[in-house]
Amino acid sequence: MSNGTVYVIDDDRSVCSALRRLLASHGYSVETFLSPSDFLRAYRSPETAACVVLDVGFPGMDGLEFQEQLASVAALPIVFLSGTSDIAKGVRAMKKGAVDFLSKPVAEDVLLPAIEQAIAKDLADRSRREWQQDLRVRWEQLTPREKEVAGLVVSGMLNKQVGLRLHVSEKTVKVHRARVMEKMQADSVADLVRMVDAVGGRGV
Amino acid sequence: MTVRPAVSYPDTPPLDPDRPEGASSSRPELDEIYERAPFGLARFNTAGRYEKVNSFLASLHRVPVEAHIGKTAAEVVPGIGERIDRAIADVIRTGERRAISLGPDHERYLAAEIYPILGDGLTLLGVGAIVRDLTPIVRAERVLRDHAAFERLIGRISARLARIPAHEIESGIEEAVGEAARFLRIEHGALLRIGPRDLEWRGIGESRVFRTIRRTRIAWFVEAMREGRVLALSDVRVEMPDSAEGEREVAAAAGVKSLLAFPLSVGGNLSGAIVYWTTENDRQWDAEIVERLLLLSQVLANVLDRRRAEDESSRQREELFHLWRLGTVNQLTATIAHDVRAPLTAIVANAAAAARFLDLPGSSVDEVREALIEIQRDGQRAGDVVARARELLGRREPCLVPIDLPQLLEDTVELAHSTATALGAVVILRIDRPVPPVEGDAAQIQQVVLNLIANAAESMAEATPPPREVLVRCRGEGDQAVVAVEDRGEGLPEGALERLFEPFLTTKEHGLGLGLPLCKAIIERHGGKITAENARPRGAIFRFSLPRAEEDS
Repeated sequence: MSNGTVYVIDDDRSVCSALRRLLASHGYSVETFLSPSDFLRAYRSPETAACVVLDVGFPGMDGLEFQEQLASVAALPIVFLSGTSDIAKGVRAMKKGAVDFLSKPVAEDVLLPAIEQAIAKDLADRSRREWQQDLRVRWEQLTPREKEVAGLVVSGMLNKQVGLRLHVSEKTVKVHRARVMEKMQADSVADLVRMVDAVGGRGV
Repeated sequence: MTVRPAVSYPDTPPLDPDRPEGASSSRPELDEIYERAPFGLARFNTAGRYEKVNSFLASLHRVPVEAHIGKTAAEVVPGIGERIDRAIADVIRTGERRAISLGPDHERYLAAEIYPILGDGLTLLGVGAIVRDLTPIVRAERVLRDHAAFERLIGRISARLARIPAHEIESGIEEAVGEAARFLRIEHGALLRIGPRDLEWRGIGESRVFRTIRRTRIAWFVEAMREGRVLALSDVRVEMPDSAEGEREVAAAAGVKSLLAFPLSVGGNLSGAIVYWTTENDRQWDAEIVERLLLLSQVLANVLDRRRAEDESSRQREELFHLWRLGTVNQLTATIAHDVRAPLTAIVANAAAAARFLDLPGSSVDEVREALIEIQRDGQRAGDVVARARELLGRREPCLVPIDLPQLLEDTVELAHSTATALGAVVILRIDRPVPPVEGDAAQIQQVVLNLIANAAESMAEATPPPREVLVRCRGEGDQAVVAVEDRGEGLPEGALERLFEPFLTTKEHGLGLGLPLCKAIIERHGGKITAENARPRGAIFRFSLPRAEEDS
């Protein structure tokens, strides 16, 4: 049973091989790449949770540039390994969502928690994405009028106000509202607010 | 060549001079062949007037069959007819066949063979003509020639780009794109630079930025380029997908009608695109043009790739040389530290893995062994890096040969000039001849002098009012040659003077403090001495001596 996939990107074959061995011994599936572009070419969205361990300071491609490119392909957490202790770079990377910025050589008890954390983050990201996807499907099942009603309800309007705004009776609004709650599987208005925000349905 | 009467041509019409025009042939199958031949056939009477023509010839001439009869060629097809008539007259006069090529006439290229039709006793009965339409062949040849010309163009371009300096390579590529566009009669061509965020679209022949576009705005285009696709759109308004809204706006703003775009990838990364476009008329991009321009874009990508690799290696070489020249040990050690980190990282990870295998039930000794073997190898590798560094740091034994010290100093000051200038200092060299002859390792002595000059220049970099001069003096003192390097900086702190040449003592923020100890080691191995003192009213003087060389050595 795999603990997740770790993509190791380092231009040094020895480092790739050693990290593969170490991480595999801890139950991770490991794939190694000698350059970010190799990785981007081969990358297919993995089934399991995953993260990237990236050597910064590749000639030809800046680690931070790669981070941007990766973000456009897949949102994977990155653990940076740096050959130099460039603090400014590290700070920038962290701000952009890197999980950790470690300097080489890295000790096992520093690397493993960083990877665990990255994998956990990916897992959380995944379930959030799935939830959003799920919500989007539900949202699309609403009729245009129901979306309108939902948008107004989450903006804090009372049924009566919604009715005035849409030129329908309060009773009609209630019916729409009930349908919205049912279709979105929302337990409360607060629940609905969260959902509508997640699908960007506010202000429809 | 004379045509003997025995020779008959398959297309030769029935040779019956008495037969009236238009009468049905006694040999219908020959008439059939005559009529259906896939080339033009004609028969002239001895007065050089058409007697008979087949439909193919009529269609070549674009004149009906009947309209030929009884007329001369010049009357039927003005322009090329005169030449046919002259050839017929020649054939009648000489009895010999003629081959002539005609055209271009209405964009057609024709070749005619005109031969005498001889009866018994070599009497001339008339003149025959076989006319072939060579237009397709000529066109094909022209295309081939064109192709060859384009390939020559590409050859010229890549030869030129291989020579031009790195900073001109982009304008060189733009020029090449312009040339190719002109060759293929495409209105515009340009090099787009695709950065991480923006895309720069520069007009050709101009250095100014024509337009900067956010990558996100033209995501469809960038994606196509990233995937390595060629875009050939004859009408950008209809051929781009709905999602390409931004692209459509950009195209409309620039008046682009048809567009042809090739990705330009360098080292596997998309760095730009070459685009050609029309603003006047729509253009169908035929496969031929696409193929040629694809070839060009590959050549240009190759040039960029190669240049980049060359620049990289020459940059590294220069950097190394520079480090060595200045003897800035601190930078060198930083490089070494970097090179040692990779094997160290592998060693640490492998050792951790090996330890884990020992604890993990079910893992084999083989796994542990593999990790240990790699550890050995990486340890060796780290050792090699250090050995190489030692060599670079000049720990090797000096190779003593007679050196021309004044000349060496001149060269060294020359070398140091740019670094000193960067620090806002000037280096002045003063030599009091005669300087006694010395022996030494020129590279190592140079390293010492450069190091002292660099230190001197650095010491004045901050808070020293101009003139920030480094004075290098050289003269003979008894049995020695003495070199002094003097600055006008803060001078050396009291108490630091004795320990100055000990390793790892540094007043500088960067650096490991190996520079001066190294200088000391080198000078001492040359049998000389190095000292430091403060100057008056300000500054420091570093002085080293080298012993006079033995006359007979």
